[in-house]
Amino acid sequence: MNPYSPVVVKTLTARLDRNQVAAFRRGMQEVLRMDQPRVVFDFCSVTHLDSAGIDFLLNCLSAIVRRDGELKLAAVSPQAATVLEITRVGRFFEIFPTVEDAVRSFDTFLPNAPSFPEPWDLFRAASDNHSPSEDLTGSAPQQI
Amino acid sequence: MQVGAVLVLGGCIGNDICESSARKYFPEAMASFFGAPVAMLDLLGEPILCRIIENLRKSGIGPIFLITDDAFANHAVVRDISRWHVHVRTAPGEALRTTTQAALKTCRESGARTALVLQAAAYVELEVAEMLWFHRASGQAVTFARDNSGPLGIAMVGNESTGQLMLPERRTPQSIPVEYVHRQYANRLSTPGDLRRLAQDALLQRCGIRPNGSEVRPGVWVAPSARLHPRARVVNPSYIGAHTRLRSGVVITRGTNIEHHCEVDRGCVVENATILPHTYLGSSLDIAHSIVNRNAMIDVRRAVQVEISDRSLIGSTSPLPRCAPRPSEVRSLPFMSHSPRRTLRDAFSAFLPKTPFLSPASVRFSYNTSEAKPGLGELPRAGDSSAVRG
Repeated sequence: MNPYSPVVVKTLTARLDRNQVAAFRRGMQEVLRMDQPRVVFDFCSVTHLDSAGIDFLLNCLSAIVRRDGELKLAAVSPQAATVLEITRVGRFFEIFPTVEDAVRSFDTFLPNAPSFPEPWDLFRAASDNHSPSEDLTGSAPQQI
Repeated sequence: MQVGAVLVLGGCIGNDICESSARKYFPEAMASFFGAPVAMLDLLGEPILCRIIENLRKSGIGPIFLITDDAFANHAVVRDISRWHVHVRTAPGEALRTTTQAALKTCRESGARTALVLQAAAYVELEVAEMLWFHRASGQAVTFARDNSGPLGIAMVGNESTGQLMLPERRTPQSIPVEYVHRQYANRLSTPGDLRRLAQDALLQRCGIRPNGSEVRPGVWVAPSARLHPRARVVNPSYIGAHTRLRSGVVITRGTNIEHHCEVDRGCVVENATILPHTYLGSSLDIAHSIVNRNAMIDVRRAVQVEISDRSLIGSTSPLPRCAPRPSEVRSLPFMSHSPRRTLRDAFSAFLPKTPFLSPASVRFSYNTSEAKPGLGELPRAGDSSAVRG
């Protein structure tokens, strides 16, 4: 059973400005009430981003982090990336090239980190390779 | 020997040339940033077009004609170009060639036996005397200039025997005769990155362009009417244009040029960028590797243009009114265009004392500068009146 809440992907509109933010904020209320929310904002169609949109992103990040969740951005267009960069807001978010990459990143401990086997898997593999009789009888001591 | 020049701004000189050869010998597509040819943009206090004309003047070329597209006839740079004693002719895009030919004819009538035809699309520091010698030695009617990267959009026309100045006719690339190889500085200005490179080359004195302003520190040029806050930091090489205002905490660095009538708000960091005239940069922004013109911005690394309508981020310092202001609005306009809080603070500061009020218990210390200052252990205590002077 997955102890975490499901990943929510929200696709933003082309213009993330003062007019659009109010409607989007209402749609985010339910997500922000979840425990440990895991949210991905799909920026693929966002071409216009202004200070109200930046304010909305920071508010969402603040609310989600307060609930011990994570907010990631995906498929950020060059226009939106430029605005995020000049306002120095981009450094607060993990940004992924695709939504799939962003969703997949929630299941890894670190982004781009190799998947390490769990301890019980190591124990199981070791027990499969060595028969218990050998452990009981003991092997000849090795010279070092 | 008198040499004339015809600068063509807009379109291609040889519109009847097939597209492939046109691109090779006269680059057809002139680089256009923010809706105007790149030659009309300001660079270190002067439009690039004026820099090109200045170079021609220094080489002793005259008369100079500017053939411009009708679309740019009312542009401020074209209107202001008359002070350079340049004959401006405007024509629709399809008639540029005939107008250029007419200008060459006028050149011939004024006594010029040779003329340069240049597309005002690139900044080239041409050795006119050397090219003229090459042109005369080769005995060609037309000599094209090129450098190691290709053609430069410059031709020298004039035939000693016939005495005619004619534009190059339709020809195939195979029939192009020997070309003059240019070895001095040339920048094609075909991409935003080229414009940035030209600005950096000028600031690093790799080309002949000199910033309009005084060099207040090595590599830092500031126009006389620029206003810099004491806490603004300008790192060389950089240029600050006339009537530009830098507020507190601003950092300008790495070959940035900020043109005239700009305003950079508090805490903004501008790095390796060109800020074109009348541009406002908002507070705490981080502008890097970009060209900003009012509310539009070109990111050089991503090669993308972004338009930002939010005035608090980037915008214009001189909003053009849609109609003339009413008389009642005229007096309030200067107050409303600035921060009301700052205006009120400045007004009240005139009535406040310059020094803070001192409480009766406060003690002021002053030392005679001729005497050695006491160490920490020798500082007088507050109650010790013998050490207090004044």
